[in-house]
Amino acid sequence: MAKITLNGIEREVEENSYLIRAAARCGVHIPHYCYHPALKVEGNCRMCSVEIEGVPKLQTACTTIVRDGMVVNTESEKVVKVRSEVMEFLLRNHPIDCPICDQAGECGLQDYYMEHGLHDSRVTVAEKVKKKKRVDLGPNVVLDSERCILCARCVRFCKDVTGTAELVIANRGSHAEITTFPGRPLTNDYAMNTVDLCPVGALTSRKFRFKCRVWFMERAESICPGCERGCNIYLDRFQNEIQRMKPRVNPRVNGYWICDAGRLDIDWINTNRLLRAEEGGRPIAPEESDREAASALSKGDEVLLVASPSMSNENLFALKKFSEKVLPGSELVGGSFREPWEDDGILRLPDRNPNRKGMEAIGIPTGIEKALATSRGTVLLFENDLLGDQPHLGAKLEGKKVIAFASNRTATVAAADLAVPVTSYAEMAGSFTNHAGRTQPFEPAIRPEGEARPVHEILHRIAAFLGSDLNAASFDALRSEMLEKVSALSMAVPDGREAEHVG
Amino acid sequence: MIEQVRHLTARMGKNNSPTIESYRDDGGYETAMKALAMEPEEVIEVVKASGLRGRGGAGFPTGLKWTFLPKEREKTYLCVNADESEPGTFKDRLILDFDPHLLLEGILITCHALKSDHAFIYIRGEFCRPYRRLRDAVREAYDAGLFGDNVMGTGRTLHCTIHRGGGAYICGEETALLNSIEGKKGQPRIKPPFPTNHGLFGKSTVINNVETLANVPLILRDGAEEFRKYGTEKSPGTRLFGVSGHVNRPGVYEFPHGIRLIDLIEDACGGVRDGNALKAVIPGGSSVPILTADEARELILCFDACMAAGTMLGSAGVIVMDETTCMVKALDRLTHFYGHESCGQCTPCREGSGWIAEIVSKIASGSGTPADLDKLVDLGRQISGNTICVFSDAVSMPVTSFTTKFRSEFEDHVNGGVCVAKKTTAATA
Amino acid sequence: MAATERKKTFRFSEKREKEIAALRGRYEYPQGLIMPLLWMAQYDEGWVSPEAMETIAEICETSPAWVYSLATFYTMFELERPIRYQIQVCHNLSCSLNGSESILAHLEKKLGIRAGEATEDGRFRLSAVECLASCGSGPMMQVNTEYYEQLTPEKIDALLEEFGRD
Ligand SMILES: Cc1cc2nc3c(=O)[nH]c(=O)nc-3n(C[C@H](O)[C@H](O)[C@H](O)COP(=O)(O)O)c2cc1C
Ligand code: SF4
Ligand code: SF4
Ligand code: SF4
Ligand code: FES
Repeated sequence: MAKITLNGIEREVEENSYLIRAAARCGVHIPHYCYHPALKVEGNCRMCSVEIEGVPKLQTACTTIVRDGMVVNTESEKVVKVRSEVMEFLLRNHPIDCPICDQAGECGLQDYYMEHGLHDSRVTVAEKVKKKKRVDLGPNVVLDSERCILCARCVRFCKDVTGTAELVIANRGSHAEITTFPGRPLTNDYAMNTVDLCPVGALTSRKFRFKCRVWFMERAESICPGCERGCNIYLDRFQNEIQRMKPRVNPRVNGYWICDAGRLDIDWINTNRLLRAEEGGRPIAPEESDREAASALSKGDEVLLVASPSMSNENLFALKKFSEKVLPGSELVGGSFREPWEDDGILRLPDRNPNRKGMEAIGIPTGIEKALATSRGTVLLFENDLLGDQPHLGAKLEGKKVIAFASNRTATVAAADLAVPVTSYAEMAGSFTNHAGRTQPFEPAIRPEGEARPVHEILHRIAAFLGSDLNAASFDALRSEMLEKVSALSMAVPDGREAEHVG
Repeated sequence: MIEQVRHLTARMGKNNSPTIESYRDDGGYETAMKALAMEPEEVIEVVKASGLRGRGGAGFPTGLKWTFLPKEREKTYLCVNADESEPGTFKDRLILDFDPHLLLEGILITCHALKSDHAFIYIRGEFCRPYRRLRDAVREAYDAGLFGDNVMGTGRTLHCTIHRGGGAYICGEETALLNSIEGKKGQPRIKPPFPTNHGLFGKSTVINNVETLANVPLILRDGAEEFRKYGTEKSPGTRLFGVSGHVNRPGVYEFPHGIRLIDLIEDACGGVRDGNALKAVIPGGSSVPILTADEARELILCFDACMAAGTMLGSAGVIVMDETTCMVKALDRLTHFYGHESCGQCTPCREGSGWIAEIVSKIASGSGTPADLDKLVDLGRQISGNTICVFSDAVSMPVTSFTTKFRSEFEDHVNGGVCVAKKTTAATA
Repeated sequence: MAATERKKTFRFSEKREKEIAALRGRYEYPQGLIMPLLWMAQYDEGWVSPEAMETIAEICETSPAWVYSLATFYTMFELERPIRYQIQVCHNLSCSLNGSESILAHLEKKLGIRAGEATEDGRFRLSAVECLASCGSGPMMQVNTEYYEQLTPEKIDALLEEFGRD
């Protein structure tokens, strides 16, 4: 540890750390644009300049390594003055079109601009260098060059994180401009992170452009269900609809990024949902569907319960309990594994199932092909599009009573005798256990629409019809019981709020 | 008439001076032979004792810089700064054109002193004839066994690679130069780390100017003491002064440090053209503060006297302006240049140099306002001090010195647009 | 790009390939070769075409965009079209003090183009450039690889004639 004096207060900070980071850990925010904790330091924006005793010139906090005994002032008159001068330079060529900018509300320029109460800008509009507006850099990212402050975060991201280097700054001096090579658009699998990285509104998401103002949105902490990495995310909502997925910083899991495939996979939450129970395609009331399911189970036939590695631990645990306590003769297997994709060496891991590890921990075996082959009675499919994902297994469902518990209208739902609406991960609390055995909680982002309920609640109700108490109505109690009984599962604490503060 | 002291320029004007035969006829490479037999540390001691200071601009003691190399190091590069792009500076080109082997011998000795096995010469892209001459000289040196895997029969390796720039003034800044060789944009690096520790390709690197290195064989040949006989205590040796602008005989002149600027102008260069009165002089390349005629008359040309006079000797490019010069238009030429050459990474420099250029051109065109002039003065101050390299100071110094020392001309331009210079020569004559 | 559009490719000559091979050992990583290769391409073709940049990117193990960023940072690379005569007039202070503006104006008139433009046939591009380190012999200009110093309108007329234009 090193001792430094920060704005008059003595602090202990990590040795060899950058001053900007050390200060952030002490709760002292140093304004900055080009610095990003996950990117190589470039020190170009000059916004983070601070005064260090004994050093005549101001020093950039993002390039300065702390030394024992360093006396730092981040708010001296000189510092504040230089900071507002940097702002003035940055705004010289900036359109200041906040009213029509997507970034408004989460823009670094706007924040500091307000804070520094910028003097009447002496730049007349005619003097501003005109640059390109609304350039499609790739399928998902749009550039407004006039808003760009040339911090090169996006450039460094594409160079050092994805290694693709499609984005560069061309030309020199005040003609410098972000661009791709003609005919080579920004198509890497992580391109949309540049939108998050961009401290101003120069890079925006084509999908999100002008959809809604950020200050109307609320966010929930969630986990991406796209693969076994379990990237930490925010789900941002407006009027009970998911507007976008954003990375949530977690140095142990995904750092600052998420992949585009994960990020873009949100439409299914808002569309094509199964909203009420259906029997042979005909809507029925929830009690009726519970009764129907219960009676199908009470016939004493063999019952096959098919879990899915996309289900939350809590739902899996409830299902396991259900099969053991309520239907002791039933068989429970996991199915519906999504086809693997390539490990890309960045975040994506081959296994596209978010909770295979959780399913293992809870003790649900795999082997759906065999189980289907031998089963003869009723088949309950949970969040499982068997017909869609593995059509060749369809034949094995013939002649059996199929009850599908599903969030969306799938091929399986269409073919099922009874379809019961359940919540997606966006509408409930739960947890996934990722490839490394880290069990990460997620919270509901939106209210469920229609009659959709979490699987554990539905199981509790069906059990009641069958005369048992599954004790799974309360989510909190269910989770506690699960954590107590399944020793392999313990809830990880979200990690990285402090890191995010510096981003 | 004051006599030039021809050390570096001794061979200029000879037939075939760029060829190895001619160079050898004049005793060339004998010093290198001698130096290669010395211990590297001894060579450094001689250079230190000579008091040689860098000729690239900053005047840093050369021998001292060489001792900054860490004791333990994986590899050492020497990078020769032949980017000569500072407006008003044209003296390295003379060496490249007419005595390239003098530079190569300097490289040979310096690499021995630094225990370096690879020298890069970074030559500005616009230099075509100098490039061809240098390239031919390097080939000759390879053929003669001066470079390659058995340098002068010592069994040591030394390679020499010429890297051509592509048109970017900023590549003269030493860390931008390194980035440019590495295949990056020529943008200066944050220091520390310094090149002696973490330079080209991350290895220990020394960067020296062409003229600096051309002095090395002479120092080793004649000894430090002889070198010190010329020039002043703190600025020993001779200097190549490039004089341009309104003098009768512009050109490169070699004189010991310590001569009077006015003697250089009046005597060596035949005085101000057309018998006009002297108005102003920039003594060390476009980036140093300008002097009024009165100040110029007093100036002694050495590092310290220039500092004391509030300017710098810089690259010793002397730009002379007579009474017909419009100082606003003169500044306009320079700020246009800086606006064009900012590498563009630091906010104050990228935005400021372009902004300054716009305002000066507006004032020069007669459409500026007093508020523009105030803004210009503010910007001249704001741009410097908070950037990665000192390019921003190089913008600030002319802006501040022109607008301070020739304030009334700027005021005349913003108050009614009348240019004081009757015959304006900085723009259309 | 439409499938029907046949993509042109650029290849260095065998002689160049040999030079490139020799240079490889001099740079610790392939990126260092970008500038030398940009020069070779420009020298051989009169400009650096997009196809050349793609080829250079491949040889230097980097992206075409990266090569493009260098080619635009350094101002000497011609990226628009092949040009026979690059006429570059210094308009920095020392040359300006000696009348470079009138030289530039004369060239603009003779060639019928403004500084920064190229003639339609691609024979000439005229530019006003910064200090070329020939300050003692201004006004001056560079045409391709040669310097022409102490210029007068008469000297320019003679030169243009030599270049096949009056
Ligand atoms: C903007 C800028 C431009 C420079 N241009 C040159 C140049 O063209 N030639 C040169 O030798 N040094 C130039 N320098 C100085 C170099 O950075 C460096 O100090 C010098 O090459 C060191 O060599 P020396 O110690 O032998 O002088 C420049 C510096 C700056 C900041
Ligand atoms: S587009 Fe955004 S991230 Fe990229 S350089 Fe510009 S401001 Fe920075
Ligand atoms: S890497 Fe996996 S978990 Fe992360 S965002 Fe992509 S799909 Fe989602
Ligand atoms: S001061 Fe100017 S030239 Fe130097 S690094 Fe910053 S932007 Fe580039
Ligand atoms: S210079 Fe430090 S954050 Fe940009």
